[in-house]
Amino acid sequence: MASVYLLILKRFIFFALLQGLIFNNFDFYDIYDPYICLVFIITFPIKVDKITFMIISFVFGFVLDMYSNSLGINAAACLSIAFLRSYILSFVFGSFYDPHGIKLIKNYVLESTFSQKFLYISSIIIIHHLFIFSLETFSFKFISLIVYKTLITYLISLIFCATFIYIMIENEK
Amino acid sequence: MQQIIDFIIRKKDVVVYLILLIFSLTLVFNSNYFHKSKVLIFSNSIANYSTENFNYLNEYFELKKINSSLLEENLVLKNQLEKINKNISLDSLTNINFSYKNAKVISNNLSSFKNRLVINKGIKDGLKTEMGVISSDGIVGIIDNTTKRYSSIMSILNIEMKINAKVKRTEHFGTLEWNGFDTRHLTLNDISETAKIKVGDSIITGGMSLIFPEGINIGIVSKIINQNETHSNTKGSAFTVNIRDDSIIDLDIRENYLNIEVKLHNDMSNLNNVYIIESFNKKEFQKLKK
Repeated sequence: MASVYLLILKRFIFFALLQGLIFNNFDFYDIYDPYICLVFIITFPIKVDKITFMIISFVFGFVLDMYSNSLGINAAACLSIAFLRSYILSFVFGSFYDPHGIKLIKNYVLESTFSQKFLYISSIIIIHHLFIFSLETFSFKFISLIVYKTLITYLISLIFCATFIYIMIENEK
Repeated sequence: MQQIIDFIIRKKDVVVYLILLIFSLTLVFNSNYFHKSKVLIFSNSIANYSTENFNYLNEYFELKKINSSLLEENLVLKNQLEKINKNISLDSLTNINFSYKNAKVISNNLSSFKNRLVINKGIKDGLKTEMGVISSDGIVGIIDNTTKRYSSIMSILNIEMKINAKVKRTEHFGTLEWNGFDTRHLTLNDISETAKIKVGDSIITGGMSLIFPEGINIGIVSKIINQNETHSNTKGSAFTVNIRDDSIIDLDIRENYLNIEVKLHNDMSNLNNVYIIESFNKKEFQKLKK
């Protein structure tokens, strides 16, 4: 169990710095940044119980907030997808999902169909982005802007996150 | 009682989620209203320290660009000085209203709806909140939070930002706002339809507030959208209703404003050196306004 927490700590520092120092300045068409930090939550070990997972995600979001000069927005979004992840997993993978975490995330990715992987990653990214952008503006006046920006940022984030997860799994083999 | 405790134990992750969510949401809304929230000051100073050190690396690659932009600015300033030198009859010591300080941009983010920049000077260097920030090409934003060594600037690319500006040629006043998407353009609202504004007119700061001195370049008019034209089909029918219903008349009058798209002079994605404007008459001005 201790080795799991060590792995989480390593990934925590790596993804927080990667997002804060490099990908926040990515500026695709000036206003779109990929959220590579979501890989941390997508690949978070299922073994760890849910409350610890939520607290770690909350702190992770808080660290991201420091780098983007906002306060609480990333924390709320990361917390929410940490809370929703078990529901998404059971919805997408059905009976294949076991809440006790005997299977690793690697098994989910390797032993599932393409549409399942796609749905799992996409739903987490879209929920996170919708949460962030609507909290930032917090008014119905900008609702079309929020949807539009969510879609474009989703595409960029999806490409980067999928590539990253692929690299991580190839390394573990 | 037993049942309530049982319920809480059964649903403990929902309870933890809600507590943390409420905590983070209070942080979000407090940081909007109380500019000097303690948490923000604490968290910013840690993150800024690491970003500043990381930026030293980045800076080397842009030295050439920074150098040439500084040379260009120097040239413009020298030309201005030459013009002013000829009629230097005023006593410049007693008439100073604004003074300038320079600073370097540490982090600059354009991806959010409420963009902020961070610069490497703070309370230690005499910066305070609500000072204006400009670059060599145009305005950048207003300081909204200062720590000991750093300050964060509310950029003009922020949907909450409203800046008083005017058209240089016709002297019509309006408010500049950002639409949330286009980082090269702002919209100038509240200018009446009767103003004869053309594409290509320059837009400068208005000087209605003492944050920015009057006459700093912002950009040029690139497109004029007349809101009335889109309603022109319904106008005839609305007029007949006007006679009976007063509220519709109000609505029609409000639509007689132009929406002007302004192309910015400065490239917000590429800022290195900025200047902070300190106003000496601000306290006096605020006293009068109350």
